[in-house]
Amino acid sequence: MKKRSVIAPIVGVMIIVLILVMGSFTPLISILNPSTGVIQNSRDLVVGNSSISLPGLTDKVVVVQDKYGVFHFYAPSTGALYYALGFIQAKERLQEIEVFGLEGMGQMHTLFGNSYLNYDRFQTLTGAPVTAAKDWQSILNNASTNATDLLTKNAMLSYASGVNEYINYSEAHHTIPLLFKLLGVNPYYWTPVYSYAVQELMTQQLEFGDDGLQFAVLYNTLGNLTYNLLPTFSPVQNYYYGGYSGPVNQTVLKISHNTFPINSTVLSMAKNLLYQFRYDPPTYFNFSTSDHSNEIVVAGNRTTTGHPLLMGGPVLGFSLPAIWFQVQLVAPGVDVYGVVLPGAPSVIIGYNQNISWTLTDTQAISSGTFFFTQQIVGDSYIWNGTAYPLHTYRVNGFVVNWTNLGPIMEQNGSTAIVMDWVGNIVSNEIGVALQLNSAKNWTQFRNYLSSWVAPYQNFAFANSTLIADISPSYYPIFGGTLYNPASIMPGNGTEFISGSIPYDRVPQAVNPSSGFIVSSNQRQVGPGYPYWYGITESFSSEYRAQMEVNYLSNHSTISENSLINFQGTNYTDYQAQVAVPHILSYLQGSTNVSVERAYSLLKGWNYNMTADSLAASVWFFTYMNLFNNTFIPFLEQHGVLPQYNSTLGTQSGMGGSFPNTSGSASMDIDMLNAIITGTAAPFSNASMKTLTIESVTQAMSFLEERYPSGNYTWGKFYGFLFPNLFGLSEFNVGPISKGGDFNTPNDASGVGPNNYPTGGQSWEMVVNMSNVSRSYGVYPGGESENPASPLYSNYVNDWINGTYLPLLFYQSSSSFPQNDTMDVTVLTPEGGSL
Amino acid sequence: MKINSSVGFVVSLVIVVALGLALLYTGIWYLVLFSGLVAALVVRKGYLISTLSGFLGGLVAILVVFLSLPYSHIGALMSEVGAIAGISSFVLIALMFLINGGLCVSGALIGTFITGVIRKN
Repeated sequence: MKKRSVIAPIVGVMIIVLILVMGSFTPLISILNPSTGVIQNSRDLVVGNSSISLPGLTDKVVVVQDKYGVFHFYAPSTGALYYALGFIQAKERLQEIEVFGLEGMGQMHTLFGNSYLNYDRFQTLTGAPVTAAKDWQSILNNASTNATDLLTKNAMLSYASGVNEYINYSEAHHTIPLLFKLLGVNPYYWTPVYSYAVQELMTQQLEFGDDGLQFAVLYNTLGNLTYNLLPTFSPVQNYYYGGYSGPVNQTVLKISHNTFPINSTVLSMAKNLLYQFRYDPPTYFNFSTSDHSNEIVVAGNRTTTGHPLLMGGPVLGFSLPAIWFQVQLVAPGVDVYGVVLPGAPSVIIGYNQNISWTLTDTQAISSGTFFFTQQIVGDSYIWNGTAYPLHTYRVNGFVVNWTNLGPIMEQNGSTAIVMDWVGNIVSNEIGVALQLNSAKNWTQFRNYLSSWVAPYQNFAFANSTLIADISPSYYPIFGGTLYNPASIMPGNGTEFISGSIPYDRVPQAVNPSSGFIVSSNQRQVGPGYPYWYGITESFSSEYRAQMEVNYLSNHSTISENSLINFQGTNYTDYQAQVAVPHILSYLQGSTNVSVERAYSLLKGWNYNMTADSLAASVWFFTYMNLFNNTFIPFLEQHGVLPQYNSTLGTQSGMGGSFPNTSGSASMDIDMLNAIITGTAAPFSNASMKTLTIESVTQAMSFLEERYPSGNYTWGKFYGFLFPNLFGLSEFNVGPISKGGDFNTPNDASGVGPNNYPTGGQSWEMVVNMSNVSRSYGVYPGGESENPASPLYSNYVNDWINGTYLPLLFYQSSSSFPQNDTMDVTVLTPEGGSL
Repeated sequence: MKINSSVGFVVSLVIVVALGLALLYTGIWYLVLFSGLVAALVVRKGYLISTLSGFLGGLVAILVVFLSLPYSHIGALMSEVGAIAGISSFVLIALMFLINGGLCVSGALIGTFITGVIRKN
């Protein structure tokens, strides 16, 4: 055979080999495969009516997507309803659902590789995966006798079937989401245990902290000065929605000032554990913000409609896709509108025809995370001098040992730090939320909440005649020697959790004479409350709540529009309102040109953190410098910094607004108190006048250096960044300038250009109880998780502008107006007909 | 039956497109090389015709797949993939066409070679 004649087939074979090699070493061939690769996903981006036949679906479900993108489900049975919700939510958010499930279960490495093993190890250690499995098992065990568990079991199984049917559907149609295609893996099948792992994740997000470890380390260094730095009660808080604003309960104060002294072994373990909390966080994706949410209910005698209004604004970290998925769910016995979480079928915040509710975090009692030192001997722990066997769990390839108090988080020889975390109590909050979805009145609502354990939440409530708020949860009562629960406690049996605050004594209020209730993460009950309820570091500094109280007190008649404008675009900083007159008095007489300029700007300021305000920038940077000048030298002199920089972090004002710092509610309170009282002792011996002039000078120097033209408006520094959930910065949105700061309703800590806020009110909602069809809301995101979809971030600009969208609420698909409809999807049982 | 080169090219092209599409829809992309191979075995018009028709047929087959999809969304989708992969969406789409064309051409080259061997024997 001639040489020339074999060249052509050799070239052909080489092309094949080249493509094979490309396919072996890169995912390109599978990604670009025209019939199964990514271009098939373009079918998911089509907006239009469709009909899908599904095995496992029992009844026909009509899903109307309204003109804003919100999904409305109309089903003839609750089983079909939750199945359809699972299917459609997975269609829009499967990546998010699956990643949340893995994150909660400590199985991230199965999708993202071994670089996530540390995270998974720590997540497993917390007990979340163990508790999620126990939660579900408890429901299965009790479903035959407990109505809540039966409701939950049916809903969860239907929902999981819907999610899994979408996985089957997308695999059959080659439209599994891009994340899976790019990683070359198939989605895993959903089970209710993953839903409970999501419940655990949310509890971690809201009620999981290392405050107890931090307090112990600080106390070890600062001694009794810790009580000055982190006081039990706020000297500046005025408003407690749950009452008890009388004199300080001395028993409670005594407990708070009785901190258990730790030895060097425990100190070393606490430092190790703090390091893990900092670098192997229990929630991997960046949802963590200071939990600063807003809720307001206004009674009918103060509204333009004569019926109550409810305003909700839970603050969470932002992400695209957002954590919330907006829906209306309609089936016999259910007609509820609101937002659901990925992986859980109940509306968490919303309303039905009869009631509305919203949530904020109580932030009480050290975030429900308590640490004990316990003695471990071999495979046993010691309690009251007796050895009991450790309970060993093997989960995700890791071994976790539990004592009677909870998981052993750190061990050195026979000494261990054990964590008693409220999230590890077996409970069914998803089931409670399912019941709330159908509640008809306050009595029902309140009764359902009696079994709520965690996360610690304030539930604002309104119906057509009544407003209320209640903070149900498992708040421990401590017995025994009564050391300070805000620090590490002895775990030998001398101190123990003897029960929880009785339900009729948890903070609550019904139709108060003021005509409104505000519960925006401030301490709910005053210093006269007879139970230990946490220290100032636990709660938010109450400036935002007080600003809301002031607004409501000064407006005798409130309309839904005034609440929307207030929530979305009122940037009054209460802390500035209180502090600036004092700051001006400290600045008086200074002949420094920059100080005079600052004085002039602050004197004419209305305390609004608007984007075009110069004074707002002067206030912010003056305050931040004042905070640093007061506390950082103090912490350095006492050996806290730099020794504990890698474990405690360095604090900065306004929730840790400076890059690479952390916030301290207590220190923000201390700071305002120092400004008001005129003394920074014991933190600084310098006079407030000296500290203030120094801080203003630094602030003006920074601003004028950065903007020599003098145009240092607040909008140059403040705005919001909406990061892609999966860390793909190409699909981030922002930063977008907006007014506000850490003390306004739209708050989030942070300041540009290196630390723009990435959190804020994650779902803004105003419900009109005279006619719930005239309610409004918006969240910063969109219903789709696909950046190529027009519904990926379509609400962001509305959120930025404070434009709330009408929440369309129709009882049946046939009553849904055509001009309010984007498209309709009909889901039918396989083999059934339309 | 003897056919001239033009007709041979068209017949070969049609075979590559039709068979290529059918094979594409099996989901195993590599199989499209058989469309070029079969066309070359059937038409037997030498390397030039089989290569050109194979390559062009491969491109047309992909184009038909594109047209069968909501193609107005493909750009946005490929931009997304490109952004993640760090490759421009244009390059990714071009690569898709080239790979399909390349597979068809390689099949055509091998098919033409086999034809030659058969003829000689």
